[in-house]
Amino acid sequence: MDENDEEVTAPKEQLAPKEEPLRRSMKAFEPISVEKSNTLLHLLYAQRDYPACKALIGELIEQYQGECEYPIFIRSVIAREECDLEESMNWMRKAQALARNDAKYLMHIGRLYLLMGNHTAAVEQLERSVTLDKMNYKAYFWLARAVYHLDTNLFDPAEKAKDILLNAPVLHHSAELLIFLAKLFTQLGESIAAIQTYKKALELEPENVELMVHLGMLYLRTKNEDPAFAMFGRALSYDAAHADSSVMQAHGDHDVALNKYRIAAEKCDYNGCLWNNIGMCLFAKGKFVAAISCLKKAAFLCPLEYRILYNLGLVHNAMQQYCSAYHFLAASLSLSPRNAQVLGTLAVTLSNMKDVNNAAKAYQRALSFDNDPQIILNYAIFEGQNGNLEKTRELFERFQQVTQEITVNQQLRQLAEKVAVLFLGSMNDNPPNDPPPSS
Amino acid sequence: MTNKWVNALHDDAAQVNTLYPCVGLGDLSGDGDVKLVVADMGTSRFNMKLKVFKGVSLAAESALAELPTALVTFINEQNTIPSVAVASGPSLLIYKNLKPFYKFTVPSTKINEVEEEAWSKAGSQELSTEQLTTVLSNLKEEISLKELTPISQTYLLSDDEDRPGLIQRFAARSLQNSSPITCLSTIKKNSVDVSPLDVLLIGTEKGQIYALDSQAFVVISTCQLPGTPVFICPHGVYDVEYKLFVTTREGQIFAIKRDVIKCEKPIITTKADIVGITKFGKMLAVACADKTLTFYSFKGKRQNQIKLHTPIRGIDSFFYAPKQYSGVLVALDHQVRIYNDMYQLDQLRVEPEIRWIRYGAFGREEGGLIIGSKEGGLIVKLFRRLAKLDEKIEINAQISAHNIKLNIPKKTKVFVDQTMRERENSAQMHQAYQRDLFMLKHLTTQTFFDLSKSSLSSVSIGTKEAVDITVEVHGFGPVFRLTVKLNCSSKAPLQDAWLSFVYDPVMYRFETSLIPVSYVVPGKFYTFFTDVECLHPEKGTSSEVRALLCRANRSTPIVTTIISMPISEMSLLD
Repeated sequence: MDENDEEVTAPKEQLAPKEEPLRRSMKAFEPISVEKSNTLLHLLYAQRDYPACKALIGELIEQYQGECEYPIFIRSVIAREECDLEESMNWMRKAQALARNDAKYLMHIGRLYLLMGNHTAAVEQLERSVTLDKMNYKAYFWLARAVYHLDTNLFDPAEKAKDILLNAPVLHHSAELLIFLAKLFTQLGESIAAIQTYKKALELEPENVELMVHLGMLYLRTKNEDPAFAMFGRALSYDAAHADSSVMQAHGDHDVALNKYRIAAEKCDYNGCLWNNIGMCLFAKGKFVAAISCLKKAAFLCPLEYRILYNLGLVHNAMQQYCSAYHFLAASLSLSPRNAQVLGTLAVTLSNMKDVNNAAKAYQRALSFDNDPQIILNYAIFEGQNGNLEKTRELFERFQQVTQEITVNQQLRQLAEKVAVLFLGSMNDNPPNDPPPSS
Repeated sequence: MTNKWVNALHDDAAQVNTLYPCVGLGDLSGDGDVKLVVADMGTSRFNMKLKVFKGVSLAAESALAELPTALVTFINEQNTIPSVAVASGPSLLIYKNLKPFYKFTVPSTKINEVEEEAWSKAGSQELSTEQLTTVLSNLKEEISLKELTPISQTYLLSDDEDRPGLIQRFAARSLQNSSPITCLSTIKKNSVDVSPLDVLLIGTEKGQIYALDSQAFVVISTCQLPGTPVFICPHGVYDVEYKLFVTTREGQIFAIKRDVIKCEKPIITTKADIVGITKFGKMLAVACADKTLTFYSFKGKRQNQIKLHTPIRGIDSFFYAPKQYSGVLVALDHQVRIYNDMYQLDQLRVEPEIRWIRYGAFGREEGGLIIGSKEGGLIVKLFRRLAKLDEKIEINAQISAHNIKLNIPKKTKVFVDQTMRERENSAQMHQAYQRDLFMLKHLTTQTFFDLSKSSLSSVSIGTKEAVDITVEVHGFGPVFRLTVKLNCSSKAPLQDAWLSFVYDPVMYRFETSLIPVSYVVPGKFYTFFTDVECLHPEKGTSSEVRALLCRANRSTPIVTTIISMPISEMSLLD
């Protein structure tokens, strides 16, 4: 085109390969820029091609007599990623010496101190960095981390770290900051704030399973089972291996829970809690033998977990294998000696085996620990069966008294009424079997 | 799955040392055959070249004076062949027909006032060489070297004898502070139906993004970013509505709209360095150094993240017009995968380690994938015209729960039989158990009681008199020697005890059957001995001997030990 014609001649001598002697003499006078190779270096670094990076950095440092910040900075970052903190610190200090007022290098020095465990020095450097550049959210993050780890009695590190994060400039755009803040909230016991923070983080990272699990757990802790259920369900839809279907089980959705457990068991077979849950799921579905198998596997994996032994006792009791039930319950009791529930179940098992004296003792001991209405009712039935109606009446009164104070299952109340009629109304009929306490 | 791609050409010894930004595709000779244009970095100081490949064979090359940082092909004239722009330092070298055509230098940014004044004074001889050096050195300390102009940088890095020459040469000229170009891209000036012209987009080290008219080579808009740009991903057309997505070295992504001259807040912040960015429909696909590929909406809302588990070498967008297939090509060390936002669609293995990939029309084919290896080789793969990309390889493959069988341990028949037995006889079993348990406890208690009553143990466990006694028998007979060792472990020393032996006087005769033990200090071993003679070795029998440690005022011994005497041999003297 015409308008370009006059400019055509300009670049020719620039672009044509220069002859060697001429180039050498000109070289000193060509303006050089220390930042010329930064692009190449960054691309190599982003590809994690460390050998090529190091070679190029060596060349550049030689060429520019160590006056190039960016290569030195990258060298430090590489050293940090190779876990050579001392060397990283040396390089970072060199970079910082070249640009004294650059907040970025101060932040990295602070971060290195944090990694080295020198939290006081880290806080000092990071605070300087934050005052120099108020917009760098990363500096706030590391400052909060460093403050959190400070060992001091002057203030609460978690509280201080929280305040720092709340002052960070782009808090709502960084999931990292939000997650850390949520953790601090959780630690400080502010569950509601933590939930809100997690929710915001989840908006930024909608498929972060770990976040969903944390949030679900928080919901559970604040007794919000429905959102927790939804959150775990969502987590499971992203990653089926998370074994959090106990909530489903609590919802009575045993088949779904069992399906989730199947996947979980595929991923980690050696998990006692998981097998315990599978066992109880099968128990709820009425598959007693399979339940026993699973629970025994669980007990084998976690022999010192009294809950598994208790569950084994329950299932054996339901199988009318009272002797085995007795032994598992006794073992459970020896691990958790003051547990009224275990004692109450043990008493039921003993009464099933017609060991009246020991059963009565177990009931009394259980009630000395906890006024559980279920145990009281069982005891009442037990005494009724043994013709000790005076005691039964006394226990019913106690049952009424206790159930007035606390809310109980409607089913249990109805059962109590029925039994009361049986024993205290018409005393000749056969009483129903003792209901096994539910898990 | 490689049957979707044709292995077209490859040359392992093409000796191309370059990276993704320095690779472009274009029909440079106007014969309908799309060629590969590469700015070869050589050894990064020497041997830099601009190379054009037809297929994988070198069609043309031209030397470059400085290290190239980016390359694009663009159209700047109606109905002609594309031109090539190579970024090198602060300049953009434009090649037309593979001939140098124009050199554009990025506009100068603001120059430090002190620096400017110093140079102008040096030019008019008001400042000596030393004074200029001092002024610039102080300035360097204050604002760091990279903020100074390239001429000052050169001056400070030169030897003393070169400095007067430098002043002579440069002081008279006006100072320029153009920062090096870091990235290049193009955007259509208008919709393709109206005109095919491109607008060049240039990013510089100091964070400026320039839009450059490709006909007159004048800057038509500028935007300032807080970080150094690495990639520019344009969307839309320049004259109507556009959005430039610019990634920075800090892992931030900025969206620049029309008429924005300063961009402060990023729309996306990634956790790791950005390896590549590309468009996928109405989404941005961002590959990061933490082995993730993340999809964001244009507003910056995260849609999905895919974890790759191996480092990503580069990404490019995939679009096959005849079948309207689209996706994101992701290069890993030895494979190239195609993803859409939810699924993996294809996987392709290559032998050498990948350094960069570039997808686009190539040669006379619609879908060409050019792979550059680490060793400098070139591989060209072509997308099969009949290939189908319908199969989905799910990323988070859901294992169908019904197919998995729970590994519930089986129970044997014996177990079931025992269960039945237990059900029928539970009361008896329990009674038997209770009785046996009681008996066991009873027996244990009784035995313990007996033991403590007779003190028949060799170790006394009373807190006051914890004594350990051991006895050794030496000799063959008829004369033996009994060695008794006492060790007291109580706190207080043992006093006024007697070591007494109980034996059958018909069988043995003891030299001393009562040894006084006056004092036993805790922690020390005391040895006592006595000779024993077997009276009737010819009978060939033996009996037990007991050693007791007693006290005068106590009815039971402190410790007792039973010694089984060996059968005595006949006396040799007889």
